[in-house]
Amino acid sequence: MKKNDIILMLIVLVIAVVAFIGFKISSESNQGDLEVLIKHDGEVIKSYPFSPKTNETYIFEEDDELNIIQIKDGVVSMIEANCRDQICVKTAAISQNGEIIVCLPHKVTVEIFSETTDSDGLDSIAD
Amino acid sequence: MEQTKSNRPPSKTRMLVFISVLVAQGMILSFIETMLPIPFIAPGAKLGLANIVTLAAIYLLTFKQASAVVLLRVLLTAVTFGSLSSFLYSLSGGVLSLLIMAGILKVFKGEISLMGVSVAGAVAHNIGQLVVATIMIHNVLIFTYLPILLIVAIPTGIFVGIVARILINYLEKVKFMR
Repeated sequence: MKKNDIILMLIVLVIAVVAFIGFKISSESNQGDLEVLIKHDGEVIKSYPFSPKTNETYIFEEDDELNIIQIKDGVVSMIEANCRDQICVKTAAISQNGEIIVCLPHKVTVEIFSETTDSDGLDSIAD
Repeated sequence: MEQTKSNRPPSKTRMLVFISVLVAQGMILSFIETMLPIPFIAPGAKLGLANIVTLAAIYLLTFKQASAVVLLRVLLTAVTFGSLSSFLYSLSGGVLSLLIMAGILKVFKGEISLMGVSVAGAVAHNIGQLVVATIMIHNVLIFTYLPILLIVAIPTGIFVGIVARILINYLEKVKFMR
């Protein structure tokens, strides 16, 4: 390993940490009324108000594509899907504003969204 | 095939065979990777074994030949194991990491080891895939996965760089290219 290797890896590490903290700050500054948005192909197909008491299960079905999304105990998770990679099912449950679970093969996303994010222009820098 | 001690450039046939072997190795490594019981860390995080072959190709061949190795591997993997969307993801990741790695190796030749080049390639691969994923699902929030992917790229990139170094040393020792 040479000096330039270390520099390059440190740059990658710093960018990762800065980006992580950036996402974290922008998410925590928007803990207004949270919503769970379930989207297919970029279109919202279902939304639920999100609180620790929310208890909902949504089944997405289109053609042969199936995704089951569960909101329970203050977290949102993809409990079942028949996509080939199963990445969405393995993704950790989400509970914070700005977090997302993605099922790429089915183009289904589940995100936690704060309603104040868009009304307050100063805080919508996350995108 | 005649074996001479001269230092003339490798014959066309030899080059063709070498490129084909690298393409086949890349395909098999991608396939083997899907069978390894690697713990799931984050969506898109992976070892990137096929990058061993890409690195060796960039290091030993011309840019044109290395591009052929990457493009053929991506195309053949998609036709054999994948789908249109998996083809687009591997293509964006593969091409971007090829460009970045070839560029870095050219600029810093001798000043950087394959580990650094490989980490940069892994990062480029992740970014390429996230861009395509953003376009496909119309949701830019997927970039919130970037920090964890960058962290994972460091150890996996180091590993891939070490293995690529061993492969290249071996290929140079057996004088495969002559």
